[in-house]
Formats: sequence, C-alpha cells, structure tokens
Amino acid sequence: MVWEMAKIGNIKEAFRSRSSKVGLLIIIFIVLMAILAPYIAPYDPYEYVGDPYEPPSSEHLLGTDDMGHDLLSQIIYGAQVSLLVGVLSALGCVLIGTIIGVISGFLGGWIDEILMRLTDVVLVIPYLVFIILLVSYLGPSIWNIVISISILGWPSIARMVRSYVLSLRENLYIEAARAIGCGNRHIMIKYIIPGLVPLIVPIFVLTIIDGILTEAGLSFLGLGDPNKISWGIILYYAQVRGAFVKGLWWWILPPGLLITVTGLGFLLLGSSLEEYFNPRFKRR
Amino acid sequence: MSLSRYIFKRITFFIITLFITITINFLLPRLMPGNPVDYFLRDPSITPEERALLIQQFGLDKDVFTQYILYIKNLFTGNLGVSFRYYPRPVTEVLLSRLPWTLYLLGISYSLATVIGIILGAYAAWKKESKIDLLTIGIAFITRSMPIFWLGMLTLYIFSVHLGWFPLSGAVTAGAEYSSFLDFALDVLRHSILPMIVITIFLLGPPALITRGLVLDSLTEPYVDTAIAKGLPPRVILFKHALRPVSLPLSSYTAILLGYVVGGAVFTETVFSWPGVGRLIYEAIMRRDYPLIQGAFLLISISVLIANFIVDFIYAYLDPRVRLR
Repeated sequence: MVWEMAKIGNIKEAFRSRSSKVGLLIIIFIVLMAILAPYIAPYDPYEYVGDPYEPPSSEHLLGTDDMGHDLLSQIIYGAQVSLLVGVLSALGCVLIGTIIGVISGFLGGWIDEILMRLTDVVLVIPYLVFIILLVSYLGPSIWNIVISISILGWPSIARMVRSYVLSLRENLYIEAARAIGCGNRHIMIKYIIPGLVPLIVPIFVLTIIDGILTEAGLSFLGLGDPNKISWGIILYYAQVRGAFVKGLWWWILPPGLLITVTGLGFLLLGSSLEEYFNPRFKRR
Repeated sequence: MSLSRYIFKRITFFIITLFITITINFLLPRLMPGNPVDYFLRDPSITPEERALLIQQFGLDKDVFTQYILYIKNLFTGNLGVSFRYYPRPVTEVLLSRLPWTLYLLGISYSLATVIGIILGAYAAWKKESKIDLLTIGIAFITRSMPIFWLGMLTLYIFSVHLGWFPLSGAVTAGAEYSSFLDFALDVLRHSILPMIVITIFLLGPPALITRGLVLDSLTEPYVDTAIAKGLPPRVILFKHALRPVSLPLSSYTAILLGYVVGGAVFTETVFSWPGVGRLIYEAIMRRDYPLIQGAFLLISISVLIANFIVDFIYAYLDPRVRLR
C-alpha cells in the first residue's frame, strides 16, 4: 500500500525493456511450475518419503523436513497456493477498489464524501493486525485469507481509480454520451470502466505481490490453511521446528527465495506496464 | 481552509475512526458463528468465579446493546478482559508490559530507516542512473518482494547460528544478573542489533523511493539551477535547496509508513523472540487467545491513529497554507 506512492519511472530505457522480459520469464516459470506440479514433483508432498532432516542428496534434492516430507516436492506444490491466493486476492481488491472508485469519482457529492471517508478509515487502521484479527475469527483457510485480503486491500486502489475517473469524466465523449441521453450507469459501464484499463492492469499485477506476501506472512504466523502446502507454511514449520538453530539451511532458503523471486517478477512486469500505459511516469 | 477548520476536521476524523475501530472489535466475535461468550471464556483454565465475573462485567448474558455500552465503559477503564495464555493476568496489563520493548525497537529502526532512506533517495535523484541510483532502486525492489520474516531467519542463521556473533533470541540473556544499568543496556543492545538492522532494511524502500521521486521533480526548479550556478557544493544544493520544498509532502508520506511499520514489528519480533507486542500477537494466535488478539489490535490501531493525528498537526504547523489562512 505504501509502495504505490513510490513510483520508479526512470530507469534506463534498456534496463526497463529488459526488466519487463525478465519479469515475464519469471512469471511463466512459476506458473508452469504450479500447473505441472503433479508431473514434475519427484514425490507426493503430503507423504513421508524419507528420513527426517535429510540433507540435500540425489534422492532428495532439497532434503527433507522433520517428518520426512520431500522439500523440493513441497516447494513445487507450494507455488499453486501462493499464486492462487495472490491472483484471487488481487482480483478481489481490484474489483472492490474499482467499483468504489468509479462510483465515488463519477457520481461525486455526498456519495463521494462518504465513500472516501470510509476509504480513509480502512487505510489508517494497520493492515496486518486487522487481517490477523479477521482471519483468526474466520478461521484459517485459503478462501478466508482471500476474502480478508480483498476486504482490506482495496482502499488505495479506490483512491487511484477515483482520481483517474475525475479526469476521464471531463472527456468530450462522456459529454457527448450524456447529450444523447445516456444514463449514469450506462456511461460508467460503457465508457468509464473501459477507460480505466491502463490504470488497472498494472495495479492488478502489482497487487498480486501483496497477496502472495500476505498469505506467506499469515501462514508464518500460524494462520495459514493447515490442509494446503504453501511457501509460507513451509517457512512456518521451519521456524516452529527450529530449522535454523539446527542449521538446516535447505529448509529455510528455497521457499523464501521463491517468494522473493516471484514477487520480483510481478514487480518488474507491473512497473513496466505502468510506464507503458502511463508515459507521464517515464518523463520524470 | 482555516487552521481551526482543519483541526476540527482532523479531530472529527480521529474520533470517527476510533469509534469504528472499537465497534469492529466489539462486533467481530458476535458476528462469527457460535457463541460470542466462547471467544471471551473459551479457555478451560478460567475458574467458574472468574467466568461469572467476566460475564457480569461484559454483560455477556444481556442483549447486544447493553453489551456494547458495557464494552465501551470497560474500555475507558482499561478493562479488556483476561488473557487465556497469561491467565489470570488482564489483557491490558500483559500488553502494557510488552509495549516498551516494541517502542524501543521500532522507534530506533523507524528513525534510522527514514533518515537513511531520505539521504539515499536524495543522492539517487541527484546522480540519476548512477550506481547509487540503481542500488537504491534495487534495495527497494528486493525488499518489496521479500518476506521480512525470511530476511530475519536468514540473518539469524548467518550471524547468530553460523558465525555466533549475536545471541539467538530474546532481548536479554536468560538468567543474567547485571551489576549496573549500563551492563543491562549493553546486553539489550547486543540482542537488538540484528532485529533493528532487519526492520531498518525492510522500512528503507518507501522513504527512499518517495524522496527520490520528489527530489527529481524539485531538481528541475529554477532555484536549483541558481544554486548550481552559484557553485554551491552538491550536499548543500541537495539538502538545503532541493529537499526543503519537498519536506512537506515527505512528512505526510512518512506518516502513512506508520501502519507499515507494524508489520515489520510482528514478523521480526516473532523470528527473534523479541518480547514485544508483535511477538505477543504471534503467541496469542498460537493459543487462539482471542481477548489478547483483540486487545493488541485495539492498542496498535489506537497508537497508529494517535501518531497520524500528531503528524497532521505538525503538517498544519509546517504548512503556511494551512497555518496562516
């Protein structure tokens, strides 16, 4: 949320075009890993397939955990949950944020005032503790995590959408639509929302990072879905079973690295899209 | 907008937000399936007398409206119920005993991150596309994508487990006796260096990037050209001429950072077993200690609200457009 105010906007042209390609490659790699998990994972991630605490070997490339699960298989399967939660929660945030932003910006008046004060309130309550509170009551499941992120993650998007709508509203074609007698709802759906695409696409890509990080964070705190393996859950068990005190680096290093690399992928792609769609960031 | 109107608006917002936070806290357990009493009294170690007392204090056998009145009344007298995990200690007492540790850790890391971030961002803007610029952007990009608890785990693994330079956990050496306050302070310092570094790195990105963006804009202003033409050294141009006009928007951005800081505390304190409010939240989640989670949510939200409120006032004082009109 904080990060949305920190636009980059001016890296060397060559670096930028390269960075979008790198970002895309990373994302393709992770998505393939998630989809092909049943075919490429060497073992069933939920089965005890080795001795506890085995170091990396040719049989278990990333070793095993305290129960003898194969860590490489867990990591490959973990991509599914992390991506799923990231994408779904980003969809939720963008959906709610867009609806509120469009209504607020287009209709204006007291509706705008109420919606924007609501936005301010949600924005000022600390996100992480709020989401901890929500998920601990709703119960730890993938859906509850997605719902909670969506409920709390929309305000900054709504604000950006609103100010964009305010400028879109001034366009002549909106006036023309009004002149031929189009109603508010028709204009919003037919003319305003399509005009928002250049704003929303990069926001969506960037919001996926927040979803992935929030899922990982909640899992790490013991609020992850206990029936699913995600990168955050692997790190949770590593922490709880004292993996680093025992020096089991192969348990700690890979899941966090994958979260970081995946996040970087979406970040590189998202900021390139942002500059592509909104050249005013480029100028600075 | 006049100053009094501005202050009035901020106070209204503060009170409404406070009210909404309290109401959310009140409603959540009651909106959930099951009996709300469970969430207050689920712990088996609560004695029948204590149970009866809590039911009476919070009116848990009465209607929702009465409960709400009692809840607010209890809140203003500092009664947030009894912690399950630290039974029979009241939630308020448990929270307050942990608060100084968090304030110490966060206060220093937040200040460090802001100062280093601003300096880094300003230099990055000055030497655009140089090594320091790419370094700043690189740090910001990586810390944005990285889970802070993982950074903490790695740091702990490398510097405490592997190299043995720093203690493994906690804020003080267990069972240590100190001959003087200085002894104690040094021990705490030794324990806090790693978590402090981790939080500082984690918080560095946003102020650095925001400063960079703002300074890039202000560097195109004519008064900066004048300063360059006068032959002033870059440090003076940067910090006296380019940074000063952006200090206002910067101060409002750093206020928004406050909510973000909380995340840093919860994760880092958990990894380093730091005895603060953040670690307490983790312990409360582990035990499904609902009164404690709610208390922590309330304490942290109110702290952030108050901090925002203070920043609003500083902003009004700094900004002549608000102050003088």
